[in-house]
Amino acid sequence: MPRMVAEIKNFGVGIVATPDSKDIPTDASDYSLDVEPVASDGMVKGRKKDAYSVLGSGFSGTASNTSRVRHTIFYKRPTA
Amino acid sequence: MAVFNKDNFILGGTYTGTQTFDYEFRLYPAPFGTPGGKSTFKYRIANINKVVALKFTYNSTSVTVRRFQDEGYIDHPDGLPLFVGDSLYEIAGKEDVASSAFIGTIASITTGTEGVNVTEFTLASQPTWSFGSGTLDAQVEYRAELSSSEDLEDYTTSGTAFTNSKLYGLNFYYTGTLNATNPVNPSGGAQYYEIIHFTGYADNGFKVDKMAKVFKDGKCNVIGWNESDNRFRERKNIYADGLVNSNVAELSNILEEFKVSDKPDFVARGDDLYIGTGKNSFPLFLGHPNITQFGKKISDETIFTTGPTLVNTSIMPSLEQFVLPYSAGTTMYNASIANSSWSLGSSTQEVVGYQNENGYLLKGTKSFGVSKSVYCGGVIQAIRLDYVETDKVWVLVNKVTSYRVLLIDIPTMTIDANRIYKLTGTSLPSASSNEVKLTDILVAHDGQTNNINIYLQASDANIDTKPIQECIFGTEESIRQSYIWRTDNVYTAPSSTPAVGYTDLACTDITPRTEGSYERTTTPNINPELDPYWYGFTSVEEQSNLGGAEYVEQGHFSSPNKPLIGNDFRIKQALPKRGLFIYGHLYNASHSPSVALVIPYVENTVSTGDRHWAISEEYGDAIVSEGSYETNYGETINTSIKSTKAKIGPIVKLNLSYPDAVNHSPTGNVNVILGSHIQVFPKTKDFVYHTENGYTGVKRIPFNAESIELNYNIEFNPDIGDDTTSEIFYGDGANMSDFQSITTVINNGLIPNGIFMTESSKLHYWDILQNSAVDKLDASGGNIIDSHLLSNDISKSFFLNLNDHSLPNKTFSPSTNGDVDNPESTTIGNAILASQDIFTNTTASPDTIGFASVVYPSDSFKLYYLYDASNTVISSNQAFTLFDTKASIKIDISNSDITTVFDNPMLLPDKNANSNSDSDYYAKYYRLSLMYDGYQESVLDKSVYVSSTNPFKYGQKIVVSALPDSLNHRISHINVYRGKAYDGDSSKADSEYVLIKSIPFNGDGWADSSDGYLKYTLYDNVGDNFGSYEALTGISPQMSTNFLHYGISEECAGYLFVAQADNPEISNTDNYIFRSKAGKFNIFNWANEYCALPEKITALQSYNNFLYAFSPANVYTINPNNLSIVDNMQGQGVLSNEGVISTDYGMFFADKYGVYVHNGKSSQLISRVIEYTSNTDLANFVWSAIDWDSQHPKLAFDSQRKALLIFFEVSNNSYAWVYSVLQRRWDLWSFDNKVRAIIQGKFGEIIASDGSLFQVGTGTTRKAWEFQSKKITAGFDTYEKQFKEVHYEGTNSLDTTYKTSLADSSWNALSSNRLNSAHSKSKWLQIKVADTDGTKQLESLGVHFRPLRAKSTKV
Repeated sequence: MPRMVAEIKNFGVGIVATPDSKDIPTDASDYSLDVEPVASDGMVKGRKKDAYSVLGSGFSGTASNTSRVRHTIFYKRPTA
Repeated sequence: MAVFNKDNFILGGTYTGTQTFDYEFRLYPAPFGTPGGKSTFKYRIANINKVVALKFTYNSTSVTVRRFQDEGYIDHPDGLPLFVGDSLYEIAGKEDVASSAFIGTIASITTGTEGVNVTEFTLASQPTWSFGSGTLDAQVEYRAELSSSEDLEDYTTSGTAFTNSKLYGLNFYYTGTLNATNPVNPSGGAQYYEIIHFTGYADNGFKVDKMAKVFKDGKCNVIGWNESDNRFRERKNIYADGLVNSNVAELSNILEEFKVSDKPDFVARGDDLYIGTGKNSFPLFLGHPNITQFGKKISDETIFTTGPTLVNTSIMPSLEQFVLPYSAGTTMYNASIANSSWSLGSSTQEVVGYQNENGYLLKGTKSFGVSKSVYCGGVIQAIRLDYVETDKVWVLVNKVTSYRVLLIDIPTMTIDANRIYKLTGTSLPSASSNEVKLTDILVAHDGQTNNINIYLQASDANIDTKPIQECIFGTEESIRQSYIWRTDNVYTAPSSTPAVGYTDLACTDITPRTEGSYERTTTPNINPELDPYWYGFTSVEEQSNLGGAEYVEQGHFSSPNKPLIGNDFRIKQALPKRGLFIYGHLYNASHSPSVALVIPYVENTVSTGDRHWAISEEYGDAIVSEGSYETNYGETINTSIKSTKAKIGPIVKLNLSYPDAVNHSPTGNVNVILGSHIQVFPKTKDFVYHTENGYTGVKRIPFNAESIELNYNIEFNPDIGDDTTSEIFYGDGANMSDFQSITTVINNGLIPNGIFMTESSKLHYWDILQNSAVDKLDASGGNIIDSHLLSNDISKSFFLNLNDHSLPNKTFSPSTNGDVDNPESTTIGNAILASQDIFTNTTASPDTIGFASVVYPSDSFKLYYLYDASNTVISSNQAFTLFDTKASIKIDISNSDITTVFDNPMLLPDKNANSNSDSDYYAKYYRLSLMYDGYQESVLDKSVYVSSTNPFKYGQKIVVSALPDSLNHRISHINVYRGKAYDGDSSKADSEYVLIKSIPFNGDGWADSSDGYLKYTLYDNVGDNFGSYEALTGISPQMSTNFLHYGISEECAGYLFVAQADNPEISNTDNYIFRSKAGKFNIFNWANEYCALPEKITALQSYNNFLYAFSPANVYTINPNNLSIVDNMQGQGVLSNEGVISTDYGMFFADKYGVYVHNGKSSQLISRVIEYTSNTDLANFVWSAIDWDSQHPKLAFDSQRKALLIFFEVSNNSYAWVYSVLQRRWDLWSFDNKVRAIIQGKFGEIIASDGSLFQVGTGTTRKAWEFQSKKITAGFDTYEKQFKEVHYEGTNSLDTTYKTSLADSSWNALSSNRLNSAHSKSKWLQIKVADTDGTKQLESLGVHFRPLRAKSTKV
């Protein structure tokens, strides 16, 4: 028998867990984790990480999220 | 003169630490810096020294971080910020760990992240252990150590700035002169260094379990609630809009604490948030009322306060309980105290108390309002003034995890003598219980034995909203068996406060048993326990064609031979909210104090109807026997015999001091029907709960509520007796459901002078002073036998009545309705006594009692008092004095002083009315309301104001006074309403109240005055009428409550809809949805505007102009305008209010069985494809596998992807199912930390809290991912193929593995894209592609295969 090729070119179906894995669409996934559902050209890539940068986005230059520098002097005379 | 210039210390970078650290850099100037005369520095984090709990193991350097919780140490669940190099030292007086104080230095972190959450570490070396084996939990001191020395000259430019992991992204360098002449010229061992301090602020900590956003001035602020500390937090401007120059992000603010009884629910309206906090706590308001108060623009500040619009016009808030401390602070017992010792008429008299459901103990005076407060660490349940140290108050606190008792020193409002106790005891109700809670505290001193015991009493958790008859203890529920406890002796105060913050205090349950007992007739051992028992009998009814008969048989008292015990015979009695008091033997008298408890209600068989006959109650199943027989005459006779069991009781055996024609005489031991009564625990410090070893027994003093038929007893006399005789039951079993509070008048007698008790609005007083030499005389002059009053003679008793045959008594009406100014009350307030014992006024002869004081909890603080109530010259109708608390708002009505204008609109409609005659005018009455936020109006105040001449021909002058600094910041107007009466002699209006003026507090028209108030004057002499209160507000002027406590809420059609709601006037409303007034989310006409559903509501959602109400299995569609149920869909629902969301793509909701989308007409299941799986990697995540009983789905919508996210947890990790609406595809996402709360962000993205705030899926980099293909069969599932190679298009070095039907136990690696030949002949092939760093992508997959010739052997 000649060799044949089966291809999966479009990954746009996402996870289809039910019914059985043999019966789901070719482009479906039996399992995936952290895949970006909105990917150009039907590619599979990771979903964007969560951004903890909603705060302080305008900060730059000098030290951020610190107080002003304070200054004290410690001097202890020697004991007699 | 400093050597170093702090301006040359250049700090850079962005602090990324998750905790706020104070940094201390020590700069040592040359030549004293080392080595070699260079300036040097060392540094450390200065704010992490602390006491830590650690577990040391003998002969090991391994150490575990611990935490004290409830009854002992546990492994610390979160870890502590510890650093390598820091040291541990013993604490004096704590556990002995090592032979020297120094224990060791941390060498490495075993578990957790250094400086963040360390739970395990190792010591650099073992000390010489002081314990011989095993492990030791110990509290030790953790000290941050200085780093090793660095040369400052190595860090003098931005390019060479110093940094370290401990600095979390910060760096510094020093630009100035490094080697300077030492300015202090030290010699011989002097120390000199300069310290540069700065603080790194953790900018992303926001650990909340529910949150909401509110926009103010275009900036997005987030409000969240943390379940673990029950506090709200605010994070302003989370997008840093407009921030340019600030170096520090807006930090989280912890807001004032309010009680939260359920997970809060938020609804935003404009820049205000309306927050439901559950059925047992006030709703809250956080917002920016767009009003001005006397020139101050309130909208510029954030107001966080309770939601209800109350008519609070006092500078003191309405208090749940209060005490009036004795400024001398010395004992009230056996002391010579004059009435003048309390200065109730003085402006400086202090009042200490707390607001309902609040954690702050407040101290104030009537002239200055609240002057000081102390936070007690949880919700205050009760207070009690100490009667020996009379400037200290005991406070019972619910901390959710436990109950605490604190002693507060009133002058300083601080903890006194380390007295913070955590209550322990097996039968104590859980502090988090929604069924039962501790609600009263009493302290009793025994000076002879140096005993101080605290007593605690429990009541139903919802007693404020339930009738007393429903607050029953003694049912089959285990939590309702115990209701009174005694603590261990606390005479000696703790020498210090332990590191855990409290000292354990054990409680002993002293509750009398409630199972039901036996009548004992053996003299003298007559029922020594005095436990209640029952009388039972069988009622037989015979019927036949020939006639019938009814009779009673087998009547008997409960006895060991014929027991009447078990569930049908439980002694069910209701506990009041606060019923503890001291009955006798105070302080250092010859006996110890006897504590007593009021039982206001006992569930008994005596009906309130014809009590002489309806004294029994059926129980169990009736037995019916039917038959027929034929007589000799051929007649058929049908017979029916019905036997019904009945009981009478409960009964106690008492020897009563009982009035006969002249005096009282002992009844001997008689059966007394038990109704409301007092339980006295004789010598309570030694009282023994019923055990095999003994039982002290309680004395019971019945309230026989009938006032005229004291000696008229219930006779049970069956018509036909067989083995019983007639029985007489003493007392009428009456109950006193309106009992409110009780306290004692004390002096040095064996029994206190008297007791005060409030019942509804009334105040009763009984003189119970005993003089053992002379019997007490009742009001008829008859002798009451002295010994029957003694607390330790438990079988002797008497009826405590309000008639002439009981102890001398009086009943006062301190106020007719909670306000002396109100002549037309319809709602009688409940009077609450001061939570303190009352002293004896020794300056009178004979001694009288000091003062009685009561408050009527209303919107304002209104306290009334009376001195010398026991004095014979003080009659029951004596008026009480109003404790004239300075008002924040007050109103004065006087006769108009404009005599040129007649009040003609108020002339009576009589053609002969003479305008010059006062009596020809309507009488006028004024009431007021307060407007909140400019548009939400309170109920009409109960107080009614009139002018001195009423009616008055020139009308009235109305002066409103206000203290600007004391006004609630939400109040914008005061509205003055007028009612009128045709009859000038009327005491109340006979018309509706109409608005005559709405006076804004913006300052216009207000004038200064000499008494500190701003005043506004108006005249009512032209008949102004701007509409009735009801027409303007939609709420009856008779309503006294216009708010609801609620758990869930939703805005729809301009209304706020709430469910799981109630208020002090209603209960059992889980099936109801209430609607606010339009646009007024704090105002509810709850009596009229509601929708009743057939089941409890779990969620509300607005969609498509309808309100949707959900239960776990049903969806109801409700018309928001007419509150009708227009549709009901069965078979799907929502588990909690977080399980539904409305979008332009439909309303999505989820229940235990799947996810649905509703389009406004019908719903559709969309989660079928993720319901089950055969893939082991997915097995725990499909819908059917997730444990939805222990967690409920949380829904959110990602506007960028147009995707629904459903958050859930598996094995304590957070995941989300992601449904992309346009592609109709499902994906599974994971999260780094547990997601606690979610909201929609400003741009439609999802904002979540996992301890920090973050945007879901918006980062610039991507997560590692994994993809598993379907099982590829090439169209022939049943035939084998030979799979040869696998190729992919995409980023190089993607991790590609496979499974086939011959090798499916694990993923197999490809070899140059080829399958292992042993696996290749297979029916299917599955491919897994993974990217472990998130940088790669897969474009396509290709599989080379060759179909094998079909053979039956290959199938």
